[in-house]
Amino acid sequence: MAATATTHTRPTGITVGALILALAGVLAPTIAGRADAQTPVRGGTLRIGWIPDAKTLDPHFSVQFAERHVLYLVFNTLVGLDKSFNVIPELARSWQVAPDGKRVTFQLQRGVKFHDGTDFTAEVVKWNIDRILDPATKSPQRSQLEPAVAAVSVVDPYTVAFEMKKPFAPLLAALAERPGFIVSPAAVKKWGENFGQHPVGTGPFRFVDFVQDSRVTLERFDGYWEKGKPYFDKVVYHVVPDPTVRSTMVRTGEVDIATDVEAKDVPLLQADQNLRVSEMKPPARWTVLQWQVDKPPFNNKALREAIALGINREELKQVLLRGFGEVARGVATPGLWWQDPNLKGYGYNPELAKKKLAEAGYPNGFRYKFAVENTSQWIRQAELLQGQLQKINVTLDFELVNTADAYALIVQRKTNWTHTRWTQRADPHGLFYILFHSKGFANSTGYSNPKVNELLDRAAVIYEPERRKPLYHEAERLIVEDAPYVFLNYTAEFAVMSRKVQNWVWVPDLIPRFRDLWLEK
Amino acid sequence: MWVFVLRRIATMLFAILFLTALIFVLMQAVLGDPVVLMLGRDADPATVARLRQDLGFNRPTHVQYLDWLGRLLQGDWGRSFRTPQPVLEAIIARLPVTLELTFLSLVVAVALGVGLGVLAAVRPYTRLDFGISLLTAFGTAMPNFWIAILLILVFALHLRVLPSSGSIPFVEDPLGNLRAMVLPAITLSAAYFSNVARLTRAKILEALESEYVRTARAKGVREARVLLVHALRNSLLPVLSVLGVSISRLFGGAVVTETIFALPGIGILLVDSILSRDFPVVQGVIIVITVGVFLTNFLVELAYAAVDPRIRIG
Repeated sequence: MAATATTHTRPTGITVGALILALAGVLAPTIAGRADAQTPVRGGTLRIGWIPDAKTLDPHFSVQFAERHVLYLVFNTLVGLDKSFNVIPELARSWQVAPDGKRVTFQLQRGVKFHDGTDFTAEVVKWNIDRILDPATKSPQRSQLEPAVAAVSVVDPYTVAFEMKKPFAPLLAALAERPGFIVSPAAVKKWGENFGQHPVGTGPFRFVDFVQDSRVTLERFDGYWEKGKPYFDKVVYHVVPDPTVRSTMVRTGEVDIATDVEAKDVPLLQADQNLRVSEMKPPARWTVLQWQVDKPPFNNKALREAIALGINREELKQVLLRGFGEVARGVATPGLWWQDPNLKGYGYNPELAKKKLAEAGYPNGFRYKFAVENTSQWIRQAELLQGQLQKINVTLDFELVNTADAYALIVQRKTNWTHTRWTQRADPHGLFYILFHSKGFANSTGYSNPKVNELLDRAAVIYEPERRKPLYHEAERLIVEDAPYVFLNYTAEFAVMSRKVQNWVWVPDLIPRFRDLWLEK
Repeated sequence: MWVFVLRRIATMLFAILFLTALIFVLMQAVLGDPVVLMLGRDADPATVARLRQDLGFNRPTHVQYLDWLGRLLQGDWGRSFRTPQPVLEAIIARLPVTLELTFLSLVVAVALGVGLGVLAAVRPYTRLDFGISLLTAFGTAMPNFWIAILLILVFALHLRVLPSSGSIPFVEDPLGNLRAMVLPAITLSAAYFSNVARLTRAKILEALESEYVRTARAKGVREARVLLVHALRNSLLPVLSVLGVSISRLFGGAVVTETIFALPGIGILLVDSILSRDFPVVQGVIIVITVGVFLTNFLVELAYAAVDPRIRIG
């Protein structure tokens, strides 16, 4: 599959700063939804109410969401993402894809230094990618590169080429996420297994300390390569596991900003004059029901359709999300370039559901075990579903599973019917392939549709978004119709901050980019 | 005395061995392996399989257990599966927070408990006594996560006099550290000071009826001395035994309190480690807690002997 050569460049030098400031002035009102465009203020400390569970700050081993809240400040990725998931320059200032799609060449920023004083060069990029690809490293990020990257070669000190096993469009988006974080090779050699507690990157903030389950402290890196940035002198993350306490701390002024706020707390926070509540719009995470479609009883398509039609998603949204978020239709959430605006999804039609159930061979009703994650949020959802499905004579028998085990049980195919959620990846391949291709490593439903496989394989080797889009639309229609997953809701996400916090923007991967914020005096 | 100490240590070692073996078998039998959790949703099966093999999860349970025990005896507590911090380092980093929290809770429990108990006993069946009864009934009945949220609402949100969450190392800012500990310590001690107060009140009332108090009063001893020396000292014995039992339960309560107030103590470490099947850390924490509980019980027994001349250890 041939791909035409594409080039992305960014001007360098003093003009960049001026350009960014000018752009910030123009874009700020639209982005933040405010009318007062201001120049960023330098100085001060940003105090963050941080979600728990960070284990390591080594991006190549990062699994937890909380870790990524910090990684984007300490490190840079090879390429970046904007708020619509377009790939933009970062440590690589431009790149070209060879006509056959099997070689991607990156030109790197010059004069970039790590916090330990070492230089960022093409050698460093090669070392980083080799580290992830080496099976002995056991990096969870390997899965995103290994299928396609054969080798990385140094062309000159500031040019690096990725040699591909096959054309692979998702490469660029992967390099904007965890596999693309560039760590200091010297620091990894120095700290060994303890690098995750002593991270060294090229990012705007230098690591100071990390007290497990308590806090992370960062301070401004004066040698940062993007002139004029960052704005804060210091950033402190305070671990606050309870969402209500987290938002309370913003109200008391103990922290400036908190994310992962619960929908139930939002009305109270919105009533507070000193706070701004930001809802992720459009939403970027979905909840689903899933089952094993290659085994009885759910290898019966009419049964799956009956259940999909028997769910009142609007009611789920009103009750569980307090009306925030959206009713889910398919794999792609609204606002992404690969989302299909014409996709309908399953509506709520209890009469048709009952007919389908009879057609499926269950005229007197259907009863089955349903694994429920043992947290109040998931239990509430399960109870609502139980009530709704009872009306079409489908009975759910709950089996509570520990949250920590829930995903392991799913991926090892030990639960047949359960619910789960996924967050958008920066490339459609991310979720489509791993969940719905018969070779996808996270395909836990046993779903296998040769037509879908073919469409996903074709889409992965085309680099132009416009040409990939129709293939994903078609695959998505087939997936929704086959119903290995029943899509429930696009969930609402909230951040709450003091009115002094400026320049907050959501990216659809839901990872806060604290590095661009500043505090009004 | 020495026989007593040696017997205690032997019992403790046996308990540790038994507990770690039990936990090991339970964690492996009831729950899955930690590899999927360690690598998350993005890891491919090849990486999962490789990590599982490197960590030795393919071996039979008893081989894994004996391997761990062998290393422990050589002083190697292992590394956490998650962080991957050395286990001993992780525990030592958390221990001060939990010790401080339990110690302060104990101080609050004793000071408030005995104080309120004495007050109530001095003025039995008055409004004061009734008020104290009501307070202690609440303290016993309300779950501590609820008390924590009420305290945060009142003292952090409305009055804004104390921080709602988090902790500051004592060496960095002693006053800030203590301020951050006030609400957690009160939360954790609520059930205990209530128990101590009710028990103290009942025992003092009982003592005040007794013949030795009547004798003391008849001799013309001042009422304050009767109360604080004669009655209180004899009433403290059952209080002491309640406290002895409480200390091990405080460790349990510390888990909930640490979670709500985001205190990086050993309670959170234990819960997190169990949930993520971080076996080396779970075992390490179990050992530390077992030793801690045995030591405090031992000290309580010694204190018993000091307070009650009828008890002699040896």
